[in-house]
Amino acid sequence: MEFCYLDITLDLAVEKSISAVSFKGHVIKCVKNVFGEFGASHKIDVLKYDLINRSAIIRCPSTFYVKLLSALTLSGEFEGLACCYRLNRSSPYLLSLLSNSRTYEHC
Amino acid sequence: MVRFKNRYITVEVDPVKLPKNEPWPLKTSKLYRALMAEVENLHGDFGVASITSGLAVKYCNKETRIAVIRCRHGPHRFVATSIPFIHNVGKDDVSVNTLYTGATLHQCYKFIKAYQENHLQKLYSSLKTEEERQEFAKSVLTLPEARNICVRETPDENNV
Repeated sequence: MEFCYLDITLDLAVEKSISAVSFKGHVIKCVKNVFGEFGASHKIDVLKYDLINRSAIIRCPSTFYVKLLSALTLSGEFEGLACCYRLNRSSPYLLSLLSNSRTYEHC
Repeated sequence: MVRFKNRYITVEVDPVKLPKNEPWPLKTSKLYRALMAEVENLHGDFGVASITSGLAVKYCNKETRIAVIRCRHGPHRFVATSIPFIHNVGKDDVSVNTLYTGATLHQCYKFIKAYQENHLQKLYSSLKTEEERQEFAKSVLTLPEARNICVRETPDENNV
């Protein structure tokens, strides 16, 4: 199975730290709202989670990438607070999330 | 100009607690609502938005408990996959079986007629008098509601 890796950040209206479990729960809830049980049955994994910035690297099957992204875009509420997801970077290779070509300086 | 394609799904709605030969008033609006709720559960807002235009329950028969659902070609997959998961219509517990999927209402009626004739043969033995048999045959084979729909397409009451 081919995967897609996404580096996403959850922006909240109020500063609040949330656990990795509730972060993943919210991602799945977003998918379930838009694509139902069928959408929520797809494999979504949180590989790395930053508690302070609420940013995470998540993995999904590449066939489900567009649907996941649209579900995250359409989400607007986290436990009564206004929220939105920011996609920082996405790639079919996990390693390519390490480097950023925009800030790369040639020697 | 490209025409709209529809799909007509013939289903059998069987109430779990009611005996087979007892008539059960199956309402189109109730089946429509149950179907919508199940599609929302299985395919979410995306599924509901896809099927809303064009979805209608065209025909219900209380004797044989057969119904015909019309939907657009394409999103009919959402409808077809949700049908087996319907467990409640109104307050009754039911099990729903898909019998046939056709492209025209006429094809569905041809199937229903053949299916009901078969159904009639099975039930003939349980009816005692000839009058009962004739009455039952009339109610099963005439398709009164169906004929009205074939003659003129009525505006959908379900979509209101």
